[in-house]
Amino acid sequence: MKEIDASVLQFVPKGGFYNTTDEQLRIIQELWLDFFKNDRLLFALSSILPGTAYSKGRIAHMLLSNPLAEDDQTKALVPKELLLDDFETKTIMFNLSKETTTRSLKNLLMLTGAKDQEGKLFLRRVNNARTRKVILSYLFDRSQKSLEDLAVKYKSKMRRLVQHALGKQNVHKLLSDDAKTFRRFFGDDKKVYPVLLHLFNRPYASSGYSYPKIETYYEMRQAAKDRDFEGFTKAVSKREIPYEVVLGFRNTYRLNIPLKGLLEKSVLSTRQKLQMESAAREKGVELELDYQKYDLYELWKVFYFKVLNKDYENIQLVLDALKLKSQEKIEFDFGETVVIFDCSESMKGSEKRPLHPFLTGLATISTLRNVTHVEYVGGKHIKVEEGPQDKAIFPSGSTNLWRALIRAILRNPETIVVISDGYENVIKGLFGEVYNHFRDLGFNFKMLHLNPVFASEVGGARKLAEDVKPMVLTDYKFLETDCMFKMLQSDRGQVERFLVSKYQNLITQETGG
Amino acid sequence: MGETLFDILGLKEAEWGEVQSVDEMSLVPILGKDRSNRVATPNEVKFRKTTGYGSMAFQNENPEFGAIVLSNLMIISNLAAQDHAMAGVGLLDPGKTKTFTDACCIQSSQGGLLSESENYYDILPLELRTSLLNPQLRKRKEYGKLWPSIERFLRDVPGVAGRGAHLEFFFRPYQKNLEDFTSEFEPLDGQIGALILYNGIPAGIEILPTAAHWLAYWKWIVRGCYGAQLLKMKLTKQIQPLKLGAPVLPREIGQVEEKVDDYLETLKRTMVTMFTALSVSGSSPTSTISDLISTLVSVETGGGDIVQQGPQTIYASLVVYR
Repeated sequence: MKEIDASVLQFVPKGGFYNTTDEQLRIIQELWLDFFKNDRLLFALSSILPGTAYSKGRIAHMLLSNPLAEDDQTKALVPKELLLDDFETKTIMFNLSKETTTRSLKNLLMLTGAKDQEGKLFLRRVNNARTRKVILSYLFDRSQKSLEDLAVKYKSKMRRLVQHALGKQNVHKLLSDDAKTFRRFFGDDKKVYPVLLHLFNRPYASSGYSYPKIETYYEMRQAAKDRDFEGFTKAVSKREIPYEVVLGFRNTYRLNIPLKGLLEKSVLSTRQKLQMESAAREKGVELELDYQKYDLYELWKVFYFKVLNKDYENIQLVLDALKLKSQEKIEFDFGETVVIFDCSESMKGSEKRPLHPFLTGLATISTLRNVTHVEYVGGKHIKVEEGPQDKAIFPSGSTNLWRALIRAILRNPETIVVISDGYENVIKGLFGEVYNHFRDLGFNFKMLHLNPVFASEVGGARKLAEDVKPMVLTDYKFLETDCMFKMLQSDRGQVERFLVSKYQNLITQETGG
Repeated sequence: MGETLFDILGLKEAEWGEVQSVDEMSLVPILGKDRSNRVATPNEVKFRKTTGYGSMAFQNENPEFGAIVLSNLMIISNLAAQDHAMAGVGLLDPGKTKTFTDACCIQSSQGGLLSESENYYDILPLELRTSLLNPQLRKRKEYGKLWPSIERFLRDVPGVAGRGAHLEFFFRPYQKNLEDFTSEFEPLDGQIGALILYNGIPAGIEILPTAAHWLAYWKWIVRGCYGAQLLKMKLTKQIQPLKLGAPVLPREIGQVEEKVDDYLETLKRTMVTMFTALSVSGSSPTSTISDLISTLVSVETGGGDIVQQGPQTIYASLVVYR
């Protein structure tokens, strides 16, 4: 088996500065398959560690498309009761519950099959008793209010999933009020029926359950169809319908209603508020944002977005939130640490994810314990005209890592953390030479190379020194995952025990199982 | 001209960036102020079409200033159209479209005319540019004039040779290698050009009018011209595999940084000095538009195009590797 690292849990199909999405995807698929074939239990269990939703979706797809074989249940370190307890399905459900609804639905939709841009199937359709259980359970095992919110905001996605899980014939029977079929899939959960009618565009009947938002949805849609501006605005004013649904009606029925009013009256998610802050202000709408609800990465992103666009409104609030969030440190303590932070041109990332490696680096530094000093490599200072600091570092220039390494070593830290994409050019290989020299001289610092870029040409992260295996880190929150996979190389048993225990704590608590 | 190459290129007082070195190729960045603010920006220069085999039409969308089409710019199309390259540098009048009728076909058995879409841009590999330093060949209006050189270039390249004068046969399968290699280099703030060397031997000099031009075009230059040539030489074992290493580092830890600094500074000085030794052996003006003059310059080991605006050289692209 190839050496598995944390990149298996950190993939995002958005390409990088150096590699296209397709190249990266091809390599990561090989890694997933290799890991899966080698140790299915560990493969499934590892998905409870912090990782990207996309990776977890693909892991779930792989698990669900391969029935559990008898010999999967003979691994000594995993307790038998865990296996008998359908731990894979529980793990998948747990992961779905931890993602945003949009992302969870996307992951479930992977089960309906996916094609690439050229129309070739790259993810096969998976439909079996387990997928049905996962889909129906995710969609319908929730409170009436939550079900209503889901059905209003994600109507078409839900419809596709229900159709996939149940099949056309069963859907037809259900919509024809076939009580036996309903009981087969939903038991006595009668709250589901009106929602099914809504999803499949059948005349909506509440049948004893009250769904005011669904009713507003139809009221709004009818008003839009009739071009009844007043009625439409009245329905929006109830502040029950999400912004994208309102916008969808406005655009589909070509209603000439200013966005300003819709923005003010629609329901916006926390993330949407952040994304639309500037656009909203341009339209004269003030959105109330609580920056302290956002994570470090998002806050750094907002900070740089504001600075680059010279939009200094609320910048102090962003900085305050950054300060506050920076107090939350990761569990791992590497002792006294000096960070070498590569701020060269390539840390700008890809067009699809601008600044991602750089922002990941900044967020990671903010969250590390015991950082006594940061050595910046490359970068330039950009002017910040307002706020308490007058300049901010920005990726630029060549990658001159050797000097930073010497300066870091001379500070005599316990650990040196290097955050770099591993593309060294002043001059290539010099970092490794300097590193070896100091090792030969007896310097015993620990070195961690955190690499925010997945490089397809090496099937993981590029290294800077021969004996320092880099850890892919595409999200600062995944550092625990990185450390776990690093430990996997030296003590597999400990990792398995840790994961089983983590599974038992997390999943049995969450699901009551 | 009676001047050294460095005089003509205005490099005597140039500022040099840190040497970037990956595998056998080194690059010394040329830093400095923009050399002209009276030249069209990269976004304003557009390839439009081939009107017939051996022709390439470009448009300058800047209504006030002349434009430069990079020397030996080549286009590989994703559509069924014959790939082409410029025979030399091109100058465009403000706001005008010009068709260059001495261009070269670089795909011998493919029909169809190029359009604006689905094109992949690069600069021709160094070896092919050297062929086009011959003024007679360059001027000749015969679209197949580069085919023998392309066949020579492809000879011995694994999986490519003997299939005709199709440069795409090299660029398509090795695109990923070229991308990876190119991306190891990084443009610097205020960079307007570079000296390029293979295993410490001068290979080329590239200067663009502004840092914005460098930012827009550096990948075409490093990937298509120098990267492709290096890859070809590696594939055909025409170059010794060498990498710049580190100096012998001192045991006194306080002196390591100084030692490496000295080494890199010496490396840079040595590399620059190798170029200062190049002297001009001939030159002939090739084109003039408004305030821009292009000249084909020869040095002992090669040559290339320069463009001057008044006394100032604002563009230079010379290959000097033998």
